[in-house]
Amino acid sequence: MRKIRYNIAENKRIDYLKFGLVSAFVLVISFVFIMLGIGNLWSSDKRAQDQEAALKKAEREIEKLTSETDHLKTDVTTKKSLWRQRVSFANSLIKEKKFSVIEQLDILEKHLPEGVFFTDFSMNIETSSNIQVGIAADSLHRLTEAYEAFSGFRKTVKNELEEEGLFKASLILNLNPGKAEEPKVAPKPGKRKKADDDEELRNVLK
Amino acid sequence: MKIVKLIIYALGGLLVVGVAFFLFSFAYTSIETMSAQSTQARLEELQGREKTLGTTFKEWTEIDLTYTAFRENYLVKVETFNRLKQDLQMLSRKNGLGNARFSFKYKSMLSGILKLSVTVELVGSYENIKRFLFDIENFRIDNNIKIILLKKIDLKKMKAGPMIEGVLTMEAYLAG
Repeated sequence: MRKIRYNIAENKRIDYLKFGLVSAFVLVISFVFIMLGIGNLWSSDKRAQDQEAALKKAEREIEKLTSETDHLKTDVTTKKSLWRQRVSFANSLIKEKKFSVIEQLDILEKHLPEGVFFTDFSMNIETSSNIQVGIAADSLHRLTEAYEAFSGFRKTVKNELEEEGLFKASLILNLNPGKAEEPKVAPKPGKRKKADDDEELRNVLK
Repeated sequence: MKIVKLIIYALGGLLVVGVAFFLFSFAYTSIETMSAQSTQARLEELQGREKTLGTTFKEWTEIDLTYTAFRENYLVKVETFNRLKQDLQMLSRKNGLGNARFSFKYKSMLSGILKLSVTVELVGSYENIKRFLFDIENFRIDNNIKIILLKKIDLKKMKAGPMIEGVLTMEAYLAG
């Protein structure tokens, strides 16, 4: 006789095998996640230890670099003004040295017509590019020739007179006729680039 | 049944804790990496700053060396001042201006530099004076050119004869 089975229980009967398997799976998954987390933290901890050592080294280096940088900054700042002063001094000497009185005299002599000669010569190189020359000619015609010859020097004529048979005049000539007379001003420190400052100085020493 | 429910809750909780722990470990690692990177960046920035400053310092030091070389080569050494005086007088004699009268004035300038103003009163021919000026412009001590700058020249033909009388002002720089 065949038995009829009915389940009249309130809840469905649990399949313990299935439940056990799912539970074990969840357990394993959870375990895997926890182990991965632990592994991650473990390796991170090891990395962190290495990094900490590196960080400490870096911090020491930063401290050293900061102090070195500060030291260099102070050193550069204190010496910069002195160096600038020196470079500016050297450059001003080089610039002035390039000016040749002999060259100027040669140029003036070349412009002097025959029968005309200098009687005096006054030049203040420091303050002006103007030069005052006195000329004397054996005739008025020669004197006008001399005026013509020096016309390129933006000349100013004064004190024209005839004395002892000579026609004399005083001329103010500009040695840089192309340029307007500029007042000599000391260069302002820090206005020029450092590279420009020492270029002239280096060129002279080459 | 109760036990089964408890097991389910426990397993659910365990799973949630496992996942949360796993995610936390990732976040923690990332934060640490970022912190290390920022320290590294700071270190690199400082190294860069030090390098730049080092280069600037080196450049300025080179300029200082160039200046020292310039001073050595082109300025008259203080200890050779007597030699400078003698050489100037010798040049005036050599150019027929033996009667030239020299006067010297000093003024201290930058550290270790003395400005020496030389005034020369002379009488001579134009050619001789010009030759003397040429020698001044090309003044040398032991074959090394030294900077002497002509600052002021006043020449005047004398009433009698072809001679010229004049006053020259020049500057030399003595380095200590």
